[in-house]
Amino acid sequence: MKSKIKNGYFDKYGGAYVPEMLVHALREIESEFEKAKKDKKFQTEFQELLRSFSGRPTPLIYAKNLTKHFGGAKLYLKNEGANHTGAHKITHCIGQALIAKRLGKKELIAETGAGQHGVATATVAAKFGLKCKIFMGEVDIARQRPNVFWMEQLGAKVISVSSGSKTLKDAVNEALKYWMANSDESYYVIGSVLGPHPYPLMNRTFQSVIGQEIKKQIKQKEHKLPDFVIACVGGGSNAIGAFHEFIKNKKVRLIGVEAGGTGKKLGQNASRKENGSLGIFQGYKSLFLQTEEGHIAPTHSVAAGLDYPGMGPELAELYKNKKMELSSALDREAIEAFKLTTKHEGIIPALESAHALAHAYKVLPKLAHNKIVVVNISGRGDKDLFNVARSLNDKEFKKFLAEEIKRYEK
Amino acid sequence: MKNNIDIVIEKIKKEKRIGIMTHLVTGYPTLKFSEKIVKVLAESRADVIEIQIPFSDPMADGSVIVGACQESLENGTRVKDSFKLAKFTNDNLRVPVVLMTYANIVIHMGIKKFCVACKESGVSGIIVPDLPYDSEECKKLRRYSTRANIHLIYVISPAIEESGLKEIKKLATGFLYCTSRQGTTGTGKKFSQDVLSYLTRIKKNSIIPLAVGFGISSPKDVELIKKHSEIVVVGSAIIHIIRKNKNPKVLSAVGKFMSGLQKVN
Repeated sequence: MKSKIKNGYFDKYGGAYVPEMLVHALREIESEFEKAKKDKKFQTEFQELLRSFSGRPTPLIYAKNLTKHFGGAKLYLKNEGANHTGAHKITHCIGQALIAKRLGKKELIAETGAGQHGVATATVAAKFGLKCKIFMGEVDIARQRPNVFWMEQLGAKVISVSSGSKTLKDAVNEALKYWMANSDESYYVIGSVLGPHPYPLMNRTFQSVIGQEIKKQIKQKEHKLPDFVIACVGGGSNAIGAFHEFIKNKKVRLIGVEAGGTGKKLGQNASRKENGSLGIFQGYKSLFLQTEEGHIAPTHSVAAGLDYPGMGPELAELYKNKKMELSSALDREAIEAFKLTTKHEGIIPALESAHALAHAYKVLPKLAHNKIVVVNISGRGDKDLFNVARSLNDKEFKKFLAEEIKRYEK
Repeated sequence: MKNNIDIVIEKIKKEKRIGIMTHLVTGYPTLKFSEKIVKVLAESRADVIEIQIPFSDPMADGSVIVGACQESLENGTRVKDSFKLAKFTNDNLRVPVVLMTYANIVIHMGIKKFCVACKESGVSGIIVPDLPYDSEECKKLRRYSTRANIHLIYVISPAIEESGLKEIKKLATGFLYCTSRQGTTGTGKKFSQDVLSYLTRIKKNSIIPLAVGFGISSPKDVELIKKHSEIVVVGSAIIHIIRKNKNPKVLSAVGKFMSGLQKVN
């Protein structure tokens, strides 16, 4: 059964819980999106940009070496990292930028955690000739300088957010506030399948191309559907993108993998399965990590893209109605999976995607040879260069950094 | 029994003046001080006192109130502290209280339980800015607050669509909280003349009293809207004073600011 959406709700999750001053801006987007969906010209333009600008379709790769290594089910990797700007994020940025253009907006704004969605938004802003402002937590700016640098080169203004935990959720807060004051001129490109209606529906519609491609590609190679589709879940845009095409087919098991962080306690991870409860935050009703008084709780993950307290409403619905399972991978398991995938398959996954891989590597050996597992690699790992080098305590890289500073000073 | 807000608004109208609703965040700068501040506000003839239950992520607030909420929570302020402060304000100071917070605090506590606690604390009005009037939660909140004789106050902005305005006017009791502009609370942007045509639009075919807030920080601002609304809301401006004048000067600074505003009447 396909998940039904009614008045912006997926079962009881979703909605548009915003101050009245955003209602008009959201209605405007909703009605333009509905028009665009039926407009052949929009569809053609969107598809053409996905093909010629982003480089779709992305490959579905048979991971021969890892399949052999684990000796169980057959492993396929959907490489969304092959997209322009290195992750699936560019897809909903292109879609939303087209909507923004149709609405006559002059500026794109976005939040970013690791910087991937920020870079993707800045990229489409440059491509479409729109102004761009990216809101980013002070802590994230400090640890993701390369992406800040690229956003600025792309012409975006990166705005440092110093409230709260100074990370992704605070960047969303500030972007929403800026939008409240500037929705006449600005379009808010939300970076996942969350926020108020119509964003979860709209971004899922754009991202569902991932699952559509997987279906076509696996049928060509295996003449049947996969037994498992596995994806990491932060807000959930890559997961719902990969899953949506398969929801109606009960034989395909859909597994979302959350950030297990360093342990099970609140604050040590970003697992809504472990610690989440129903709440209303940042415009939508869903499962959130929160304290006993209903404040939004701090989260932790080695992967900045998973380090967020909420889950897209459609994913919460899929989980509640048992159409999707949730699991988690620890920081160190993700790093191990990252190393294994890189070494054996020549694919450097983002640390977010490495969580999905870590879970796959737990189940693969237990499955029969005729089973098929597809893992969505939501992004490539180039962005994690500094992070991974530090995690691996790479002495040569450290030496390089020290010398690089000297080269600057010359 | 009549709601205290209605009694105050009748009084304001009779006295042909504009009422003042002041705002504070429970536990900022400390719980003890919050009590002293409400006393000063009551002595300065505040007509309504809006008490904000601090929330970790106050989406409709600007940096001044965000900072106050953060500091209060870091000091360990609990939800029950706001109810205590409300009770103190209502029972001892005899000023009607509007309790303001965000949806997650209310639904986490439970809507019914929240309304019961409001009633027990003598709260006269509730504001939840991120709860749209047509959501299931708001309907439930409306049901329980009405039962408790508490006004559910809606916050509207200049961007409100006609259809929404019509519906809200039908549901509103107490007063409508009109933000003077798009954006968050605070004094960042200049208070503008445009606000008058917007207030005229809201007033049309309606008898519901209006309270105007967002960006009001001087007697001049109050003067501008005096004839167009029943109440003026002063929030961030007072928190700003508290932030700038650490104790013991802060109380006299707040009192002085309030008497400046009262001169308009």
